[in-house]
Amino acid sequence: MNKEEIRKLAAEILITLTPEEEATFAAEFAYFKELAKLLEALPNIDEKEPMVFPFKVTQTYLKEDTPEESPGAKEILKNSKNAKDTFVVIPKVVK
Amino acid sequence: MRYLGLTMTELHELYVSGKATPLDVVNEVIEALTKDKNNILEKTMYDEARSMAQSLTKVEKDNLLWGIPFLVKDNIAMKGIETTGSSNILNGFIPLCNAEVIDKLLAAKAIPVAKTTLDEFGMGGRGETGHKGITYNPYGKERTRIVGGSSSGSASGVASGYVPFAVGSDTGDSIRKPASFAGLVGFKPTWGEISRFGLFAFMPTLDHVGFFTRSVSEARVLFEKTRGYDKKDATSVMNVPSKTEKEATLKGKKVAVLEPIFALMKNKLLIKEFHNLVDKLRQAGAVVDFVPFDKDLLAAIFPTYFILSCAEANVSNACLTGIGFGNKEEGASYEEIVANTRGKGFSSRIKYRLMLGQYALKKENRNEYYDRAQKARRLIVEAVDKVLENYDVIMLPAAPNHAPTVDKQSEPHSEIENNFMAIANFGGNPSLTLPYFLDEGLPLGVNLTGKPFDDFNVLNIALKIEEITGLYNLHAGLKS
Repeated sequence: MNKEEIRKLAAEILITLTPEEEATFAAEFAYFKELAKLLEALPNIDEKEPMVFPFKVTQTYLKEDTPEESPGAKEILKNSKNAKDTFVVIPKVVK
Repeated sequence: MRYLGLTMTELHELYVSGKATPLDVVNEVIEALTKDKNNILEKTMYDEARSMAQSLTKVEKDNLLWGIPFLVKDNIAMKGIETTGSSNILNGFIPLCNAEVIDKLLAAKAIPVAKTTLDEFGMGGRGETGHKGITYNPYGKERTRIVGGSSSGSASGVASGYVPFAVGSDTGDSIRKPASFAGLVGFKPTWGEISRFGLFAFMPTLDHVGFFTRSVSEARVLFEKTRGYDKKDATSVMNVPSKTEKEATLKGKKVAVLEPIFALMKNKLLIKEFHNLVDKLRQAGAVVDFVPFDKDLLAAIFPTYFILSCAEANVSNACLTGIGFGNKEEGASYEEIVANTRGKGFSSRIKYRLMLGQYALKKENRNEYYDRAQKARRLIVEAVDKVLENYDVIMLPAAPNHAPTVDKQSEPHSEIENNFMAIANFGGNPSLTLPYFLDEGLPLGVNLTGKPFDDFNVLNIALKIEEITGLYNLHAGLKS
C-alpha cells in the first residue's frame, strides 16, 4: 500500500495521520495481510457460513411498547463542546 | 493496615461481628490507592465512596457484597463519573447512566472506589497502551513487569490487595490473561449472561463483562448477583438458571487438554506443574485426556480474532467524532473537526486498527477478510464444541510464562499459545483462570473453558482445583 492509498484509507474514516504514522502503517498492513493468508489456507473455508452469533438457541421477542423517559437534550448535550441551547452547532455544511 | 488484603468473606465477617464498618475499610482502601505506584487509576470517586460507606449502617448478614469496596475498568459507564476507556478522545466524557453491572453491584450495596486503567478501548494484551501509560504488576521487583491487559488496572488493584474484587471486560482474554499474571481468579461467564449495557463496545460479538477475585467462590457470588436478562442489552440472553448445579466434585468430571497447544509450552516448570495438577485431578476421580486438535485451526485463532476485532472496532468507534460528545478539536468544516478530533484523540495503535478494519470491511475486500474471518470463527467454534461434546471443560495453562518484564515482548511465532483463550469468546463459552503455581514468586494460571450456559459446572471444577492447589486469597503484599 503506497502513501496515497494509506491517506485515502484514513480519510475514509475521518482520521488524520502524522507523517510517522503514514510511514509505519505499511508494516502494520503487511502483518495484517500475512495473518489473513493463514485463513485462506483453511480447507473449505469459503463453503462455511459466517458466524455472527455463537449459540444454536434462537431468541426472538418483542419489547413491551412502554414509553421511557429520556434524560433530555440539556443533560445529553453537557458532553458536547459544540452545544448551544438544545442544538449541536457545527460549521456551515451547505455552502 | 487492618483491612487490606482481606477477601469479601473476611470483610463480611468483620462487618457482621461489628469489628469494622464499611467506612473504616473504605478509608483504608483510599489511603492505599493514593500511594499506589503501579499506575492503576483513572478517575477516583473517594468522596462518593465515603458517603456511600457512611450510609451503610445496618449490616445485611445474607449479602456478602454489602459494604465491599471494588474497582471498575474504565470502559464501563458510571453515571456522573468521567469514563474514558483510557483514551484521550474521551477525556472529560461523563456518562448519563450506569452500566447494568454497576447498577446491580450498587443494588447489592457494594462500593465503587475508583475507575481503573486499561489498554486504550480494550485493544491490547499488555496493559501498556492506555493514555496514562504502562500499568505495572505488583508481583516482582517494583514497576518492572506488566500485569497484562486489557483489564490491567483492575487486575493490578486486586492483586495489590487494595480491594477484594474488580470489574473487567474480556474480548479475547482481557480478564483471563491478566488473572494469570496477577495470581487471581478471572472469570468471564457465558456471552449474554451478564448484561453489557454500559460497556464501551469494542467488538460487540465477542465482548463480555466479568470479574477479578481472589477466590473461585467469590467469583461465583458476583456471577450470581449480576447475571440475568436485561432488556437494555439486545444480546442479553433469557437463560433459565442452571438446574444441573450439584455439589462441587471432580469425580466423574471429564477434562480435555488440547495436546497441540500444550505441546507449544516451553517453560519446564510450567509443564511439570501442569502434569502434577493433571495427576491430582485423576487421583480425585476426574478423567483427563490429552486430545488432538486441528493445527491449522489453532493457527487461525489469532488472525480470526485480529481481523474481526479491527473490523468491529472500526464500526464501534465510528461514533467518536467530538461532535455530540468527546474531546473535540477545531476545524474549518464538520469533516475537519472529526478528522482532527480522531487524529489527535486516538493513539497511533488505535488508528492503525481502525484503518485495517475499514480495509477489511470495504465492499471489494469484505469477502476476503471480514466474512472469511467469520467463517474461520465458525470452524473454530465447531471444533471446540466437538471436544466439549465429550468433556466438561478444556484445561490449559492460561499463558506460556509468568508476567514478562516491560521490555520483553512475546517470543516470535508464539501467537497460538499466547492467544488461544479467544476460543471462549468466539463460542461465548464460560471461561475461568485461576492460579496453579508460583514460579520464583510469580504466579501462573490455569484456564478452564466449558460449554455455553454451563457456568456453574466450570465454577465447581475450578473450586475443586483451587482446593488442590491451595492457591487462593493471593495478593502481592502491601507496601506502605
